[in-house]
Amino acid sequence: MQDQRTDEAHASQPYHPGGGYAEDGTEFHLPADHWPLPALVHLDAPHAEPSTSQFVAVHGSPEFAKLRSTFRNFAFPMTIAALVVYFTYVVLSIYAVGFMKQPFFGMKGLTVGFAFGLVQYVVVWLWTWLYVRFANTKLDKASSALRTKLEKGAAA
Amino acid sequence: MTPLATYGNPTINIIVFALFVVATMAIVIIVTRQKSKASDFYTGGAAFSGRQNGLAITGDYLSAAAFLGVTGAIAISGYDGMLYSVGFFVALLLALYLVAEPMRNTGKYTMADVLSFRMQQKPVRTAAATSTLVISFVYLLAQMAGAGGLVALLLGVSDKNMQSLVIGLVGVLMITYVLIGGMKGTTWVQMIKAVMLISGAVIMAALVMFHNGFSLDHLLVSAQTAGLDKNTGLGKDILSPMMKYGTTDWTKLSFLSLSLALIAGPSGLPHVLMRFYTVPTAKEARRSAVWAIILVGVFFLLTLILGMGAAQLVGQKTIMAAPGGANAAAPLLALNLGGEVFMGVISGVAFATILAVVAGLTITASASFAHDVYNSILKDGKADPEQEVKVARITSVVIGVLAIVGGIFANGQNIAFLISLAFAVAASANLPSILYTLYWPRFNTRGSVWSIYTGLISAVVLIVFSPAISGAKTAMLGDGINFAWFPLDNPALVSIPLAFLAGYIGTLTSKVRGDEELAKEMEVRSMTGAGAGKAIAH
Repeated sequence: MQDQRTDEAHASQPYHPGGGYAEDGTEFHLPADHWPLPALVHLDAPHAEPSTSQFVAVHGSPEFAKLRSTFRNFAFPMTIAALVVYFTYVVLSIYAVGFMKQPFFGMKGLTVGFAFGLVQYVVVWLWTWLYVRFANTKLDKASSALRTKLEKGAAA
Repeated sequence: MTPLATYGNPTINIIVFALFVVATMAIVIIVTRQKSKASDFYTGGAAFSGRQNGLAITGDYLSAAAFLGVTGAIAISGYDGMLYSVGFFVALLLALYLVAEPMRNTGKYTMADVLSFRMQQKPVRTAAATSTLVISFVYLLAQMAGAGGLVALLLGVSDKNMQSLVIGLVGVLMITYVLIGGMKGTTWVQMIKAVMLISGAVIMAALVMFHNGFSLDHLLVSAQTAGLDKNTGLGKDILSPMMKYGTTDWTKLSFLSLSLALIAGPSGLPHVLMRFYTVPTAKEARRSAVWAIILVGVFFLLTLILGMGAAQLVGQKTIMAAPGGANAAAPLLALNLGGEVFMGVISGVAFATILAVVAGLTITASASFAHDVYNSILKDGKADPEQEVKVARITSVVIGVLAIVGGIFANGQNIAFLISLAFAVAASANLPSILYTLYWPRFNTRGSVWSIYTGLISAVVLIVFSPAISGAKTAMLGDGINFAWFPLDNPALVSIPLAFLAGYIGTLTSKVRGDEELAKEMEVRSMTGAGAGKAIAH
């Protein structure tokens, strides 16, 4: 038995991520007072659970392919760029001590190295702003359309 | 040299500190006592908005390591110490771009939910739960050491055995709190504390800047001068890179290894990942990550001022001689800037920080054990709910006691350094598997299990045999005992690539192909968040 999902006995049951074993992999069966286990928070109205075949169908759709490539074409290069900036700072700090020790624009204590360190903060904030703008405009509409389609399809 | 008892007046220190801690606890108990209705339990009652959750993530992230540890690292190691603040911060970018939203869309309860989603449940769950427990333990140990050192400083206790006793008592107090507190209460403490910690840092930084005519350049130069010998001008130049790590080629590589652990660790930290499951939608998860990034960034910028301020105003020698060593930099700076009451308040904030982080870690560890190991693996998902909660409670006590013992051994180590070890384990054991699971459809059970165990075992083994544990003056066991054969004091440079490699080889050599349909389902779930709410019963 490689996977519980292929088990005939489970085939008719609704699928829950978090385990083919439990019907309720989310621990909603716990009593109300179950500290120190975490609270269960789901604001979504209870909805029908799409089946794997419905997910697979969406996976093959051009809308999904477009959503995925939009995300990856943005997220992957941006992540790599941020990592390059960070590791440049780290490697220069190790192997170009003389350069990093130089005063930055006539300052005495603030060196090129410190300035480069501060640049990292700027990069993170800038990247965060770019990501949010990107996700709000390019991802949300497409992903919520697919989600609605899936959950409606499951209810039908 | 003046006696140690002159770190403020111990009586005032402790009174202010105790008042502060009692007040925080009172809030927790009041909030927790407001019993929620059964319907609240699943929906609005316990839900936090993106901003609140962002504050809570900030609270989780700004642990004792960030406040006491990073400030101390900058005060003692100067430029090299700043890597901690930069690395801790850049790490959040990786979490935002690649991990936070897909994890929240796919996972529900523990990290293992995501990792085992399209794999064979038992082996992957076991591996993920094991790594969760180990990481939580290392993280807890650092917090306990920090709490003990802090209280020892406030009490002016310099004897090592007495400090061990203090760590033990503080640890017991924390476990008790965790057991009587609640998730809601803990999250409130996280939020309140995040606000107080940042406000405290802002006030301290403003005072430091006031001393320096609001010139960062002046502060840096003064901190540098304070570290040099008055007559000869010789000594450690804390503004120069590689003052701490430049000794040999190996120590230079240690720095590189540390930089890798710092940015890769947070995306694999189970207790940070878990915070993303408690927001209602992917958009709220994003919003909370953004809040966290803004606040954490401000805080880490301030640690540069605080650390340099401590080096300038308190002096490295005084810091290193204090109970808790480098970790004492921030409280001593507070004493210098605002006297005993201010020191008491700042220490109280630091203690609340530790308490809330300990609670968060305990939740994560006990949830992972109760949900992944006890319910899913041992009871095939049919565990008695009451019994499951009981298991969770016992787990939190056991892991707490282990952390106290570990904390006693780690006493005096820089907490930021200890946390960097936890980060290295998280980055090696969890991150490769998380990234493969989310972005490589072919990844399968064997790949996942190999990757987690290779990362976990190699990171832990390399730490044990590193100069961090033995064979160096700064080692946990001192330089009297030496069984170190691994030259780097952080294993990430070796263990992360090993874990990636093991995941790759494991996947390719496995005769059992992964479930392609489930891989597709997971990809759709991670991108859309469909099916992430509670399903209606059929």
